[in-house]
Amino acid sequence: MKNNRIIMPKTLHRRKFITRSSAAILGGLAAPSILPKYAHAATKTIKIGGAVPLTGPVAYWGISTMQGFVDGAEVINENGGVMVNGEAHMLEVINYDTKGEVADSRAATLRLVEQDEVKFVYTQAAASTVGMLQVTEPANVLSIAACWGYLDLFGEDYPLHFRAEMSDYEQGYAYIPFMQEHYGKDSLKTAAFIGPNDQDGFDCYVSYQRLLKYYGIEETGFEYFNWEDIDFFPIVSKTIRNNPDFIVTSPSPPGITASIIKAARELGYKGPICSPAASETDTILEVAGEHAHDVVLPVTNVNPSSESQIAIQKRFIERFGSFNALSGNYSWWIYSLVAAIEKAGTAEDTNAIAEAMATIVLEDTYVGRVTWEGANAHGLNRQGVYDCYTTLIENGQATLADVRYPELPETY
Amino acid sequence: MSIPELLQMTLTGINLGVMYALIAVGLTLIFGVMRIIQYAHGEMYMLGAFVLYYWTEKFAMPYWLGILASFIVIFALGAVLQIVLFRPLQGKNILNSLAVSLGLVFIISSTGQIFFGTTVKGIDSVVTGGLVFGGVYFSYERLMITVVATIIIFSLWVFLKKTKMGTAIRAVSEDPDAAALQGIRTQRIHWLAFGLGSGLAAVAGCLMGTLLSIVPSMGFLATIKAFMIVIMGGLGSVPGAVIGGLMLGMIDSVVTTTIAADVAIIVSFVVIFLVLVFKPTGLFGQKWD
Repeated sequence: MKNNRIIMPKTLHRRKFITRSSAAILGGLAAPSILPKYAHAATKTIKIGGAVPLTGPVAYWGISTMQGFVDGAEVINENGGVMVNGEAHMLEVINYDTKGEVADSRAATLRLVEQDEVKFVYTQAAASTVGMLQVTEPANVLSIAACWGYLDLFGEDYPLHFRAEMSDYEQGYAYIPFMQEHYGKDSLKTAAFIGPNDQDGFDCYVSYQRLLKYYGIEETGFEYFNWEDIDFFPIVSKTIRNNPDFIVTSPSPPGITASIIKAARELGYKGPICSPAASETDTILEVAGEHAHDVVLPVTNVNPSSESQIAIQKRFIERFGSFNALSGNYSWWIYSLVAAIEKAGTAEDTNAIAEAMATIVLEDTYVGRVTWEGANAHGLNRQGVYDCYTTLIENGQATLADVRYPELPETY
Repeated sequence: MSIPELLQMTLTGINLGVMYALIAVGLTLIFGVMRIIQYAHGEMYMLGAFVLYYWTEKFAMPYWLGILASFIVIFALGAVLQIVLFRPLQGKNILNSLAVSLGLVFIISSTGQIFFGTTVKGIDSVVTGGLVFGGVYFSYERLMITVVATIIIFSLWVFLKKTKMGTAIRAVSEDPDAAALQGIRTQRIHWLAFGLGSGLAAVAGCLMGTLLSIVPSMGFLATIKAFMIVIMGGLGSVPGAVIGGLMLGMIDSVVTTTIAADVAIIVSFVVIFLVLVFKPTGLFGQKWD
């Protein structure tokens, strides 16, 4: 049985003690269930490691990411595995909980690389990405992540690091045109930003500023919340003081997004509220209730309609008991990796696989067409870009309102 | 800064402060009677919220009965924990009870994550809407929760001051040996106080959970807030918890709205430091051996 080992720090802080211990219990219980049943029967195995937050404030994102890999591995194994130079390889997915902490992510990735000898690691959210990268790049391990900040840890200096999820920057070239069409360009002349008080929040604020400049929208203010904040009334009161035409909150998980929406509506704010990171509707509808109105959720497909989207939804419900749009968004990562391995003809040479992966185009995923872009902006095509499914919540009802590939500028 | 904005900040501060106070009075009651630091107080708050969540959202039972049910369930849990885990440690090194309560934090929060999941959940409010008056928004939900929390705190104060049982609790809190010599069954007072403190945390979890959202990890922050309040107000003092809660609520509201959220945390701790420097026992606390 795979289990988490608790590494005790020299100074034992209560919070770390609590989160590490609880995660160890959870991880210990969860680990056996996420091992593919074919892994041990295969003659050759390709191990994929997950250093993902399975507990803590961003667990929702981490669990959704993990589900994409577990499901994908099962499907690929059932279909004969990964063909490398004509030889079938089975996939094994090994997951360890990072609790969304840098140190825990580093420890989890070290274990994956040194003990489990994985060549491919995936992760989710900024803190886990930072911890993972401290291990993967020096060890020549290919990594796939959803991380919107820390752009200094991305690009030419990190050639094995892929950012699969579109950040709020890439999404902006889809959702802002949509909002301008839906609400009218003249109704969206000013905007305000609310984000977390950390590097991820600061970087998302910079992305948001670049988008506003590109679309000629004036900024009325920005506010940072602490992850420890309980009530968002004070922050929202301050944000809406200058009456922005719309509010962007990023990167805020669904629960915090819902609290911000509820506070804003209670305080009488009428404009649209956009949350590029929430990508989920159930929590928002449950927490914000009647206040969930004019909420714009990019990269959130609540109405799977294509054959493959419906198949993914069905499989996830059967395998995990539930399905959310975010799991669907992450479900293509493993297919891009596998396509790259097969194209490179090696499961060992991660440099060759990275070069191959940058050229992979998937046409029929849960998020439609997927490519890797960003050569002009980042020096390498390492940023996933795909059709942006935007969901709109109106009067407590979530419906898919728009699908478009981001109209990225030439400089990207 | 306009007058309506100032009033809005004050309303939000009072609402937050009363909620903080409701979490803290239970903790201060437990410390006052038993002289133990109950780190798992926030977990009682979390469990209370989830009892109401399942009661209303999963079984579609009435909201107010759900709060009562939550109080009873968590009261019983607190009483059992006191009898089984804390009673054997009575009179021994305080670090023993500290270790036990820390262990409870791990067990309850981890179990909560396994059973309740890690996604954020919401409890439907029985009151919605609001009123804009003079540029100030009065949320009926917040108003209701503030009034209910105030009534509960006032009822606790009356219970402690005016009833025989309350007098016995205060007697044990002030001098357990003298109380025992007067015929008060101190063991019974201990589990009653522990249960009552836990039940109050559960009610606070229900009300806050309705207003905001609930998640198994919510207990940690509640414990931190409660400790900040009882240290500022004075360990073991119910009026201290109320005043401390209101001070912290006002700081959270006013400083966040006028400056920034991270500055509010700094100001909160600066105020606590100042209180402790000038009055080491807290605003209303007594000197504990």
